[in-house]
Amino acid sequence: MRAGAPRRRWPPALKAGLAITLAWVALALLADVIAPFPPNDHNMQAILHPPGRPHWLGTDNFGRDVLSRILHGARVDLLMGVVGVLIPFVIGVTLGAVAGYFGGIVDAILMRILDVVLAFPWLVLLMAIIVVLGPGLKSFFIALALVGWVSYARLVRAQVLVIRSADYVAAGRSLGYSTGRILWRHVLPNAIAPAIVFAMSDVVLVILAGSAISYLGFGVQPPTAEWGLMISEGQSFIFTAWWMTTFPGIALVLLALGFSLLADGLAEYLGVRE
Amino acid sequence: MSAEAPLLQARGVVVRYDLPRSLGDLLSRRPARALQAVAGIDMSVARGTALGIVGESGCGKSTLGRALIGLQDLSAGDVSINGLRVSSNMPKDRRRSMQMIFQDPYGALNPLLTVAQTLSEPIRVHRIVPPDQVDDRVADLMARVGLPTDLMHRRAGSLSGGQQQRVGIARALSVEPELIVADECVAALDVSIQAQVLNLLLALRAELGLTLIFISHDLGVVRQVCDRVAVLYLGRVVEEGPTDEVFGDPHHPYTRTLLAAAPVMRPDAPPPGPPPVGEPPSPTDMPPGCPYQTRCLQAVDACRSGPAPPLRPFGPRAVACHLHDPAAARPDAGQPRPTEVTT
Repeated sequence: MRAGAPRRRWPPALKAGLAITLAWVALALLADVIAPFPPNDHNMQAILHPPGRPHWLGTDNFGRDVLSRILHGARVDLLMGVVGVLIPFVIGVTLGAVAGYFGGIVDAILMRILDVVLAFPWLVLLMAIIVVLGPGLKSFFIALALVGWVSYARLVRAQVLVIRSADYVAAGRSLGYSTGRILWRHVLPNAIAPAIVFAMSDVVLVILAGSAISYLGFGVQPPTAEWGLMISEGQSFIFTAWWMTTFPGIALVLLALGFSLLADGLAEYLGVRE
Repeated sequence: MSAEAPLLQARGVVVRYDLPRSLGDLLSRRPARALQAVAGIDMSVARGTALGIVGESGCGKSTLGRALIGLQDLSAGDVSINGLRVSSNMPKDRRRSMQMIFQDPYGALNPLLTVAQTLSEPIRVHRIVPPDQVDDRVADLMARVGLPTDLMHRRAGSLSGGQQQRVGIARALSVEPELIVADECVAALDVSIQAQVLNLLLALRAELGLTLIFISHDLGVVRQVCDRVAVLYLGRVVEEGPTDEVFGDPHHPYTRTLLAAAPVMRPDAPPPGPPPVGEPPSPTDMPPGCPYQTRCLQAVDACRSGPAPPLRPFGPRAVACHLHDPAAARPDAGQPRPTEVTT
């Protein structure tokens, strides 16, 4: 019921997702303190050391401590996920809100551009742009901004189309509110929930894409600790040193799980149907 | 009161919606079709009075209400309030004088804002009072519409329907308007709450000297609230006049069936008349002649061709019906007229 709705409880998925995500953020922030070894220190006495004391998750082919590299890698991967989602989010939400509210020619042009971008496979387009711009994290973010905004624009536009005809928008107009005030204060806050939910699941996709691109050699460059890169480096040692690929892989799965749960929980909490 | 210039004056108001053309229409070169929600309405509302607008669903009541206060672009005609033209892009200090109360009390409130935020925003935007007095002003408004101040920090979703509608009324009052359009403002409320909200509206009207345009399909409510009433049929006014006269002695056959169809809870009430016959014709496919002729029990040949009968003055009121042509000056106007009408 709308009237007298009780305070909404936090769904379990939201709590679990928040716990996992915040745990990773804490581990990333405290990496300098809790990591047992510096992430890029070679130790020729302990090359391909199996998991055990003092290297709990083993060492790689340069004798670097896998646990320390995973903790430091969390910083890079979280940064990739958060910045890589934030930029397209801001661009997409703004464009989608403007297109949906004003309609007409602006909307028509934007929707055609959107159709074109959507016509390409996401990851392929991302890699093509990165190859043109040159490898590195900066190229990755630029490519994401160019490709990623479409999902947010589409989600927000669809919501704005519904909300712009709500009575409280008509009331705002009759009260003489400016178009900007109506759009940013009354329409957008009520239209943004699906985009926020999508952003959480998008973080997972972006981190995986970032890892995939680093794995292929176009993203983060060695010797930086990054999970995708670590998996790539461990690939040739998969039969002699399984820990080099397995543990960064598990880390990736756990982070993805956290954001997925967060997305599901938020969807339930905000009443967004997917 | 009649000597004074009316607060609101509408001339030839038309609101037309273009219908999307299907591929078949395009291929067969059929002309684009349009729906006339409001088909040429003149009206004037004197300051401090209440005008009721009644009619069936889909007759254009709400569209007319929105058009009168500049929430709906006109296809033709013009509306002026205080002699100043109303338009959808007029500056905010002109907007202030005309506000609306909506049918769905929840849908009219931004669900993310608290009552205090909803009420303080227009006060700040229009600088009604200095910034340090905004909170007092909000408290005044809440008291005026009978909302306890401890609801101040609640959101719309946690208020009852009656409370939501009171917030809507307080918001409309916050900018000190002269004219309020109430669009079915009690239709979504429980009957007991309806009476409370109506009494509030009547008290505020008396206290603040508001002019009211009261849109409703509930004839009993209109009778209680309004000085004058306009009966709408398919976007046209078919009868207009003082409420008591129109309801006491309806002239237009449509007004008669409308009144007869309304239940009257009185033992001495006259037996109910014949209910309206069938549905109104589609506004995209209007019949020739009088728009009401397809359902009118008294229709004569003159009603079935030519233009729709114009709204002609008839004593203190006006009627749009061939049977009530004052030029004919016949005493028993209820009888069908056998001859065609010169126009």
